[in-house]
Formats: sequence, structure tokens, C-alpha cells
Amino acid sequence: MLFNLKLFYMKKIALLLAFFAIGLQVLLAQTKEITGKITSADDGSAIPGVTVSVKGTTLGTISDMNGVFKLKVPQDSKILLFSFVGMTTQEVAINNQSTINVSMATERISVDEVVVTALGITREKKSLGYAVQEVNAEDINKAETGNVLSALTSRVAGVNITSSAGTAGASSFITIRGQNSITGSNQPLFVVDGLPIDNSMEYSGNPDDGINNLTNGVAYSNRAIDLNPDDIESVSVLKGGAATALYGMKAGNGVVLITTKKGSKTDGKMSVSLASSISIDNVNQLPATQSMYAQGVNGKYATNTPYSYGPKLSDMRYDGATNSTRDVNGNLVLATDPSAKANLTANAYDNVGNFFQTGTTLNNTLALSGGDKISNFYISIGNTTTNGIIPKNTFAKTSIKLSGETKLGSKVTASGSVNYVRSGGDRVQQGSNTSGVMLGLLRGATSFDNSNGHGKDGYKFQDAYMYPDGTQRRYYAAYDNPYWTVNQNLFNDQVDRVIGNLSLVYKPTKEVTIAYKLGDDFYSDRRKGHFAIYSANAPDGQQQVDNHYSNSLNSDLTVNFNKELFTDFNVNITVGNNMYQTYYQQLYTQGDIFVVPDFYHMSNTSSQFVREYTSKYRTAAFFGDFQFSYKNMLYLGVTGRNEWSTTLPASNNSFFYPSASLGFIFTELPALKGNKVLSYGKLRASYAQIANAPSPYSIQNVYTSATVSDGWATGNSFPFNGTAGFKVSNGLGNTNLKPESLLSREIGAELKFFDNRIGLDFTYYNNQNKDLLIAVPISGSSGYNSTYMNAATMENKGVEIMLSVTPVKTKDLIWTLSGNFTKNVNKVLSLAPGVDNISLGGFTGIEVDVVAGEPYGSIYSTGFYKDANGNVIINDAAGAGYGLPIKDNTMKSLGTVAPKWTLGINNDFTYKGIGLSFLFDIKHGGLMWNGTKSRLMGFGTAKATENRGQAVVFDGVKGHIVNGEIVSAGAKNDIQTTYSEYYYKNIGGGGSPAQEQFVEKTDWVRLRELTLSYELGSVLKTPFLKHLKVYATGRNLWLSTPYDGIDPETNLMGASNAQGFDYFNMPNTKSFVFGFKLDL
Amino acid sequence: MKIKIISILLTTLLFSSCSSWIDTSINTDPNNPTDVAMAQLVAPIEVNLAYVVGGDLARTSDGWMQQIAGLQSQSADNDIYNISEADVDNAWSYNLYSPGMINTKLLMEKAVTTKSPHFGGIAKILMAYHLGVTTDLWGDIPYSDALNGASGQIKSKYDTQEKIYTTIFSLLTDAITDLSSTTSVYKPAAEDLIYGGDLAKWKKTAYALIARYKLHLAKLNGATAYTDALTALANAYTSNDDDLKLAFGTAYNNSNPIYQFTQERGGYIAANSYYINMLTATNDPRLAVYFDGSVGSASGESNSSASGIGVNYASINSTVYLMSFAEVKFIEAEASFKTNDIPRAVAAYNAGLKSSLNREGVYDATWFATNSITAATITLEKIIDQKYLSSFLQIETWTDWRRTGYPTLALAKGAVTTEIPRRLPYPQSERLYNGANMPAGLTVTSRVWWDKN
Repeated sequence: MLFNLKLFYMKKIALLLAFFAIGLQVLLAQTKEITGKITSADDGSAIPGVTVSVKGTTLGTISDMNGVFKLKVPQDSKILLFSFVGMTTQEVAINNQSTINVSMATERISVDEVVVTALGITREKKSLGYAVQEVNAEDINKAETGNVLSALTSRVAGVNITSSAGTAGASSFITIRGQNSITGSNQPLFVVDGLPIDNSMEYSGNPDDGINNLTNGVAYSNRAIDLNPDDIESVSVLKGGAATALYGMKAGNGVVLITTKKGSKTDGKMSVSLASSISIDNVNQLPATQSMYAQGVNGKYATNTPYSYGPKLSDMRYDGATNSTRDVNGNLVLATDPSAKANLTANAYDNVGNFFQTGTTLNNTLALSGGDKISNFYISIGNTTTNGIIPKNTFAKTSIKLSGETKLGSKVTASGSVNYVRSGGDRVQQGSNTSGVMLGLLRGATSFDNSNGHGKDGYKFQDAYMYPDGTQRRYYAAYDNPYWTVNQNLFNDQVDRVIGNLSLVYKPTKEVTIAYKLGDDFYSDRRKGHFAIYSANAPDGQQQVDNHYSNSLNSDLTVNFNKELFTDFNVNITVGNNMYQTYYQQLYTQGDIFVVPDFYHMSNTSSQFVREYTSKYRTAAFFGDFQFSYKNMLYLGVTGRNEWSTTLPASNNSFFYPSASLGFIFTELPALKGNKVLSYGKLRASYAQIANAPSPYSIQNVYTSATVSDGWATGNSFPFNGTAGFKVSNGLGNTNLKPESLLSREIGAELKFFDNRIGLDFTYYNNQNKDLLIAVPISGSSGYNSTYMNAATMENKGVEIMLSVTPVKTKDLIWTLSGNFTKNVNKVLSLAPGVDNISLGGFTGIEVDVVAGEPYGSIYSTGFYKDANGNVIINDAAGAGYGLPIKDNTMKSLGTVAPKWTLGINNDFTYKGIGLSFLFDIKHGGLMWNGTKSRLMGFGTAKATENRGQAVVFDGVKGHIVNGEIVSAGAKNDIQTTYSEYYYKNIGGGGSPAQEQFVEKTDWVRLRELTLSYELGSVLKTPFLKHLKVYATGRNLWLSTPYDGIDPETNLMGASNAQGFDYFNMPNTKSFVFGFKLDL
Repeated sequence: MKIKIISILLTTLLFSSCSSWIDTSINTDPNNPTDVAMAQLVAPIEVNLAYVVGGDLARTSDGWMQQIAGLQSQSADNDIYNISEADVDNAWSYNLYSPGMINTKLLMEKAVTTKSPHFGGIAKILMAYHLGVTTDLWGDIPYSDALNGASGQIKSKYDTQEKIYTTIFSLLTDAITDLSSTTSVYKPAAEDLIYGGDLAKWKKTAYALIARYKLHLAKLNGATAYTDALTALANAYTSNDDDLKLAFGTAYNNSNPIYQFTQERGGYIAANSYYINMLTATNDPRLAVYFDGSVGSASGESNSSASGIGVNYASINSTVYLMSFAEVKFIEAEASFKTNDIPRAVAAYNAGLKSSLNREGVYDATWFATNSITAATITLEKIIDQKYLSSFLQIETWTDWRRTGYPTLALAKGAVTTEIPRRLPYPQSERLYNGANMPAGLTVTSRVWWDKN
């Protein structure tokens, strides 16, 4: 119940303000005294600081600490006005009463809502000519996701957030109003208390493999995970160009502004807050696997094959051999085999069900804060510890934050904050990786017990995954037993991070404020992992030590002038300077081939190699922000920023970014003022130009330490047997680089009806991106494979609608319903001359591409040959494919991975101290490649392959290929065939099937959050206890989707541009959270 | 007033600090040099060539030539000739042209500017080798107009295969001249991983390659091709020590491509029963080093029990042979046979077989005696079949098959084409980014220029 907490502070602040600022005089003689008590309609608590005045006069007082007021009023006074910030003003007729008790209701939708805008400037929302959406601390902490990004999911219109997996510490990917860069980052800038912070996702693995490392390895974190959500006061999402223009070249993808909690004036008394929760996590959805057929091929049992096309388990028995390495019951044989023991029927093991555990996440944050007129402070310590749904998978984060502020004399205020975070955990191998957990788990035959009789506890027992001689126990030699992977192929990361800033504010006169802020965000990310000897991914073993270091320094100097120049005409001018530097260094060391087993150290490897990468760039900028307002009705904002970046050519490194925005509150017009139906109406329009800077070192042609790869295996790298070697970089540099530019236009309207009971906020935007940098792929015969160019153009047009309704609002019960609707239509207008396709990532036969004329992120795949009417061609030529659809290896577009629209619907009920809220997340459109299913069909472990051997006549027309061309007379197919092993391995599944059949819709309706809370504070009425809220939250409790696999909120390549891949991804979770928040 | 002064001071300070803050040297790449010496270019060209010729291209060609079989996934597709334009992108764009030919071209240019013909000669031989491999697989390919990306020309016209062959021969002849030069400012040494800077061996290689590529033109030129080859052979290799080969290292990232493939793509490839049957028919001792057993999988059969690749070709440091004394001898055998010099053909055949057995470390005098050829038994088919048995995982086998029709191969079970392919499809990247220049209307069964019907 943090809005109550907020209210509590507001009450206190207002009280102080009232005492010090307003001098309300009570003078008159012909008076009578009215007394009364003012209480909150929400929880019945007393409200101090409420202004009580006689309507039409300057007479008034304020309520005391107990909510009690006394006011002498003239005998002829008619009406008393009760007003308080954040609550609905009430008018009460005096009549002859001498005691008037009032219950005041919280004004949920406040017209005078303030929001944090660019550079951390707090503005009244009504003064803005562009859309900004704020999410408060309560909503952020509701789901206890531990990651501020996931907490924003479905709560902000125009924002799309995808968490990559349900594994502990997995990353989340966020875009605001679609993509703005083709191959550069599409992630918004994260700013915490004025300091841009790093939200990158660094991957490990041999850097020579580049982005291929994202399809295997482990799931990494995006660095915003380091923030403690309990420290956050609010998150403000700046979506359009005009909102972010002051950030210039860093803001092309929008800005997420995070404001953390500060100490407040509590007259020296200390406030204590404790937030504590436990989350119980379970897998929410898994691919369906068969439990009918044994390992084997052609209906015969075999253990030297990865396939599950063996006999029916019901036709099999164990032979009872006690020395079997396969099963505790002996070797599997056919029931007709002489060695078969009739009573030992063959088991279908639930390897998948046995493997996943119930995960837990413990969240605890203790915060102390306080202050007086001179100084204030905030100290918190928080810890999150997750034990994942996959055994041995952990993530832990400890955060310590200290911030304080003090007045140095009457004109200078100094403040500072430092946040230390340690985060990391044990991660597990995933994805396209023969040691990947899901790969070995789902491909595994149901006739083989991964746990070797230990069931759910398989991961605890070495004999489940290892034979006494140290070799691996697994169903088939090419893939790891998942229990082996979680025990033997550990990968650990540990981040130590400090985010700090110092600020001085000098206020020489009432109108002028000079502020300087210096901030730094640095971390080391130390990673260490290994593959034990006999691991599928590195049979001789491999050691990886990967160290990352990042440091971002930011300096801001601003001068602000704010004055009412003439009556009703106010100017607010900010000019300033910004300097920024970021530095990144990686040292990756890999050792191969362990000499001694079970000793994981570089010194124990037969060969080692090292890769070093350093990157650094700086920007400098001068900016100005000019805000003019007239009569609280018309607001004009103009900003300009001139910026220099070291990543640009020296001759052309200065760029100017302007913006203008206009807000018109037409309900302030005399004709509309005080309208009963339309209580508030605003129109806004804005225009801005912003940019994304190119990455460093993109100008020159260079030589690189030589690497050789054929795309099938790791390849070779230099030094080779001690000989150094270089090759010219296969990407050409460009001496004419410019920043990527974004022209952003936005119009909107904000309307409130019936005393703010209904609020509607509508935004339409049109963003035109040009000069987008792409490593334009070029024909290899030029000697190079790409050239970096300002080439592409793209647009995003969209609509954001936020509706909030308060259907019920009584003394005890308040029901608010809010929805946010997002529709973004992205279109890549052009790439580069001669280039109409750029691959973001993929596998043979399936890619996510950027294609001119299509939305960003189109799935391209192989498919079936079809005739002009779209009928699948069924092979009528004799041979293995007779009667089966014919595979067409040409890659064709199937549509975009981006949703057509999304809708978040939130319901909040508060009844006395009880709160009930639920958040629905609805997504329509968006494709994903279900690569897991494609493979499982081929391996014969997919549930769908249980129909093997059944007769089928495939839908389509008969035809065949002659010299690469389809020949078909168009006759409807009538060839009866069967769902054969051949079909599932080559056409309807397998390593390179017709992939189009596995590109699936990811529409969903999910109950993302359901929270029930109870404010015990008002019940217990203990003097020292301000609030005690207990709550239970369900996260992801219900999901409805046509996607035939794990929860489609997933992505193999994490927080990268290549979205829409599911290839043995880790499943997602559903959770029950129980917690309390205590304020003393 | 005070504020004004402070503001002016601050502004001046900021502007001056800004210009030094935006220091252009910050954008100088600290990770990569802008230029390197010739010595650093040679080794990567050699490693890349051996990696692709002995890896990806060998797996494709010798899958089709039924030395090996694909058991699953893309390798199983390869077995039945189901190859897509995307499958050959890597070999073309990320091996042969770049880093292969572009760095070879840079090496050739640096050799001229630094007056170092000894580097120049090696570079020309390597370029000729790249061109030979590329044109034999694809037919017409870009060269005279290619490799000019750095000067902004990113779409290259294709040269006919005939023109490429002319270029190959002139590069090789020029290389011989360069290598014979008495002066060279810079001289190749240990960084030449193949010969350690031994110019005499490079010269022999130039002659050996002339012989190989002259022989390729046999269908077009008839007897001239054979006599040209025999002429060149006079100066080519004289023993196995001369072989153009690259030994991979014992570090994983310096390891043999077949080894890496079998490590990371376990169960993809294995012995082909066709090849196994040929080897077992004579109890050939090379079987033991070619494969780790004697079970084969017929093309398209995907027999998962088939034996894996053997110790001489799939060990971490296995050697990749690019040109060999054995091949030279089989070229001599074929050319002599076709020009009716039977005694020379017999001698060359037996020398080739002996060379192969020695190279594989399995020479056995008794076995050799029973399996050597005589004037009575020699045929063209036997020469090519023995060359095929002596050329495990050599892409040359595919060229020989296209030229001579030997060995006699049956179409794979479940083949998606009506005959065994006679060329690779052009890569996807060429169609997408250089489509206007790329020859159109070809299928994998279309013939290249020298493969006259």
C-alpha cells in the first residue's frame, strides 16, 4: 500500500508547508467556532494538514496531527471547503452545525499529477506537450519479479517487454514504440536519478563466434537487473522524441527514467521499512512429449541412436539383468525375447516431470530513512536469492544503497548517493548446445531413466549421470544427461557494481538554480565456467574465464531560470552541458582439454587462448530547454541540443537536435471551465529530431587477429601453433558515418470526465528513422562480407490508448479499472541499394531477418512447394517421399515476430484495508519459430508423433519436381501413406524440415498478476506501526495461447535484436508470492 | 553580476574542455591494427585454405563421392544431394573469397610494393589454388573484377571458367618466375606453415598444380591436356616429403576441421558402405586409418551403426593434404595411359599406390605386391579407382568422377535429384547481393565448362 505511504509523507509535508508558508488569519469578531475531525475514506486514519476554509473568503485553518480542526467563522458563513493535495476537495454546508466531521477520499487521478521528465526535471503532467507514463513503486513491487524491467511488463502503453526465460537471472528485452535501429541497440536509455546506467547484456563464449554465442551457452542477465525494485520510487517512461530530445544521441530508443527513494523530513525521527517476500516458482508450460515408444529406429529397440522410433513400451520387458548400465530393472528387450521377465513391464519414465523442481525466490529489503529541515538520508539493504526451477540454477543479488542530502547554508544543497550491488549465480547450459539442459532432456527417450531410479532427486545422485569410471551416463552419446549438465558444466558469474553520484545545487536567487551532478556507474562481471571431461559440448573438457569491466561517467551542469515574467506568463529556461564517457573491457580466456579430471583451472588445460576487447567513447553536448506557459492553459516547450561524439569522423562530428512541443488545456477556456461532464481536456502535439550514435571504431578498415570458421564448428583461431596471424577485417569501415536519425512526431489528447472518474489518454505517433547504420552485407566476391553504412530507413507508426475508469467510488469501496493499449506498426522502408535482407540470427532454413517493405524482424523459413492456389504439392513420384509434401528450400517470409497489438488490463479493488488487483496481459499477433518441436518430431519424442504408423492422405495436390521445377496437373492428392519415421525425420520434423510448419502464433491472454493484500496497520492500531501490509500475489497463473511448446514469452537469444526463437529454450514459470511490507 | 562572471567562466571552461574531451584519437581502434606485415598474412591464408578444402568442401564432395555418409541433419540431406544455396554461403564468402582470396591478393600487392617476389610467388600459387578449387566447384566465378570492395566496388562481374583457367596457368607460371628471382627484400620463413619458406618445394607445387589443372581440361582438349600435364610433371614432386599439406595443431582452436566437426556434430558423418566395400574387397590396410571400424552406411541410408572417421583424418592434429606426390603419380598414370605409354602408366600407378600407403603409414610389401597393377590389368577405371582410394577426403575425387565417370556410383537412396550433382549451387549471398552478375538458370546437375558432355 505504497500510495498510502506516499500520502502519509504528503500529509506531513503539507503540514509543514501550511505552518511555514500560509499565514491564514482568523480575526473577525462576529464568529462562531466549528470543530471536527478529518479522516481518510481509505483507511479511516486521521488526516493532518487539511486546509479548511470558508468558501469565498480567505479565512481558514489546517487540521492538526490528529486530523482535528477548530475554526472561527462569521455567523453568516455558508460553506466550508476541505482541500488536501491528492484528495478530492469537499464542500460541506455549515447550516447550524458546530461539529463537522469529514471523510476525504483519495483523488486517484490527480490533474496536478507530477511526473519526472528529461534530466530529472519534475513537471506537472498537464504542462507537457508529449506523452510520459509513470509507474509507481507499488505497481513495480507488486509482482516481486526482482527485475525492474519485468515489473513494467503490460503496465505501460507503447512498451514491449519480453523476458527471455524462466531461469534464475535471465534477461528481459524492452523496446519503446518499436525498433529504431536495424543492427544497433534497440534498448532505451536507462537513467537512474539523472545518471545514465548500463543495461547491456554481455554474453560469454569465444568472442570470435560473435552473436552465435547467443544461441548456446547460458542465459545471461541484462544489467538493469542489478537495481533493487524496493529502492525505486517511480519509473517514468519517456516514449517520444520530444520527451527524450534533451538526451540527444543516446535517446533514439526512448528513455526509462528511474527515481529512487530519498529520505524525507520526518523531524529527525527515523522511518523504518521492511519488505519481505517469498516466491514459489514452478514451470508453467512444457512441450508435450510421448511416453509410448522406446528408443530406437524402424520400430526396433536400439541404444546407439538418438531417436525414439523404437517398439511400443507395452511390447517390451526388462531382462532383470543386475549389471545393466541402462536401467535398474535390467536391459530392455521385446516381450517375446527369451530373456524377458514377464512381470518386469517396461517403464515410461517422466524425465521431464522429474527434472524440474519447485523454485524459490526470497526477497528482503530493509530501509531506514529520515531527515529534518537541513538534511535527510535513505539507507537500504536488500537481498534477492533465487533457487531456480532447474536444479542448481541460482541467482542472488545484494544491494546496499545510501543517499543523503544536506543544506550548506541557505543557498546551497549538496546531495549524493551510492549504490553497491553484488549479483550473479550459477547458470545452466541452454539452447543449441549439446550440453543444453532442455536439449538433452527433451530429446531423451522415455525408455531411459535419466535419474537412474532417483526420480525427483536425480540431480543429487552422482550415479544418475556418471558411471563409476567417471564417464557419463546418458541415453545417447551425443547429448548430455541434464543431471550431468547441472552438476558438471557449471557456469558462474559475479557482478560487483557501484552506481554513485554527487550533486551540488546553488540557488542564488528565487528564480535561478545552478546545479552540477557528477555520476559514475561501474562494474566488474567475473565469469567462470567449465565443461567437464565427457561433456557432449566439449568431450575433452573446457575451461572459460571471462572478465568484463564497464565504466560510464556522466557530468551534467544546468542553469535554470524560472519566473513569471508578466501576469499569467511564465518562463522556465534550463541551459546546460553534458559530458559522457563509457569504457568497456573484456578479457576472455579459454582452456581446452583437461589433463586431470575434476580440477577446473587453466593450468590443467592442454591449450589456452585469450581474447581481449576494449572500447571507449565520449560525447559532449550543450543543451537548452525553454518552457513557456500562459495561464495554466497553454504550454510551449522548445529544446535544442548540440552534441559531439568521438565515434564520428572528426570532420563531421557535431549534430544539433531540436524539439518543440505544445500543450493546450482547453478546459481552462472560460466557456469550458467547470464543465460537469468534461472535467479536464488537453490537446498536445510535438516534433523532435533525435539520434543514435554509431558504435566506436566503425570508421577505419583494420586487420584482425585471424580466425577461420566454416559455420559448422568452432573453427581455428590465431596464434596457430605459436604463429601469429592477421587477416583484413571482412567488414569495411566507413569514413562518412553519421548518427542514425529519428524524426518523431506525436499528437495526443487527454480527457477526463465526470470529476475525473473516467480518464482517456490517446496518442498517435509517427516516427521516421533514416540514416540507419547497417553492416550492409555485400557479395563475398568483393573480398569483404559487409560494409558499414548509413543506409536504411524505417518507420514506426502507432497508437497508444490509456483508459482509466473508476466505476465504484464509495467511502469503503473503490474500484478502478485501467487499460493500456499499444499498437505499433513498424515498416522497414529501405535497407541499402541492392540489399533487401539482413539476417539478425538463425539456423539453417530459419532466420529472423530485416527485410525492406516488411516489419522489423520477419521470420524467413523453408517450407513446402505450393501451386498457384496455395495447395501443398504432394509428391507423386516413386521414392522415399512418395505421398508426402515436398520440401522447398527457398526461404520465404512468414510474417513478423512483433505483436500486432497488446493490451494490459488492470483492475484494482480496495475495500477498507483490503486490496485486490489483477493484471491481464493480452497479446495479438507475433510469430515464433518452435524449433524445439521441429526437432522433437524428428527425434520421435514429441507427443504428436504418437500417431506414427497411422494412415494419412496429406492435403494438397499431386505433383513432383523435374529439374528443380514443380510439375503438377492440379489433381487433388489421394495417395494414402502413413505418418512414417521417414516423414517425421525429413519433412514433418528433424534437423532441416519444411520449417514453415513450425512457425507458430504466439497470441496470448494471460493473468500476469493477481494480488490480494490487506493493510493490517489500521486494524492493529499500534502506535509505532505506521503500516503493515500483507499480500499474496500470483504471477503468470493462467495462460491461454495457441503456441505448442513452452510459454511463448521467451527468446533464445535473450535481450538481443533477434527475437522470435525457441530452440530448446528454458521454460517460463508461474509463481505464488507471499510477503509483507512494514513501515515503522 | 557575480552570476554572470561565473557563467562566463564556466562556459569558457566547458567549451575548451569539450574540444579536448572529444579527442579523435579515442576512436582509434585499440583492438586491431591498421596494417600488418606479409609474414602475418601467409599463415592464416594457408590455414583457412586447408580448413575449408579439408573440411566443409570435402564433406560435401566426398559425401557425394560416397567415401563418407551423412547420418543425420544437414549431413543426411547432403547424402541425398539436398543442398541449398545457403549451405554453400560459408565456404564461398567466409572461406574462399574472404579471408582466402582477399588476403592472398593483399599479399600479392604487398610483395610488389616491398619488392619481395618470394612472397609474391607463394601468394600467386595460393591464389591459383583458390581459383582452381572455386571454379571446379561452381564454374564461372568472379575474379578479374572481384576483390575490390575496399575501393567501393562491391558487385563483381563473373569470369568464364575458361578465363579463370587461363588466369590459373598464368599465375602459376609467374609464380615460378618470382620464386626463381635471386633477390627478395622480405623472405618467407617459419610463418609459411606449409613449407617453412622452402622455395624449391613451392616451385614443385606450381608445376604439380599446372599438371592437375591441365588434366582437368581433358574432356575439352583431349591428348593435349595429357601431354601438357606430363610436361609439367617433370618438375613436380619427387617424394611424399614434397606434399602440399598442413598439419593441424593439438590445441582445440588449432585443430583439424574433420576432428572439430565430429566433436561438435557428433553422429553426423560416418563411413560410406560403398567406400568400405571397395577397401574391404582387397583387405586394404588403409581402412584401419580411414575409419574406426568397417561398418558403412549407404548414401541415404543413415545407418547409425556406421563407423566413424579414422585416426589419420579425424584426430585433433590430422593433416590436410592439398596436393600430393601420390596425386602427381596418378595424374602421370592417367596421362600416360591415355597417351598409350602403358609401361609408364603402370609404374606411375604403382608409385602412386606405394606413396599413398607410405603416407598413411600402412605400407606392407606383401599386400602391395599382390595389389600392384600390371600392364595386363591396367585400365582407366582402375587408375581412377585407385586414385579415389588414395584420395580420402580430397575434393579432387569429385572432379575425377565428373571427368571420367569413375568410380561408378549409384544414385543415393531417396535422392532429390535424378543424377549425382555436377556443380554446387551459387551461394545465397551472391544471388542477394550480386544477383545481376550471377549466372542464372543453373541447377546442381548443370555441367561446368570443362565437364563437356
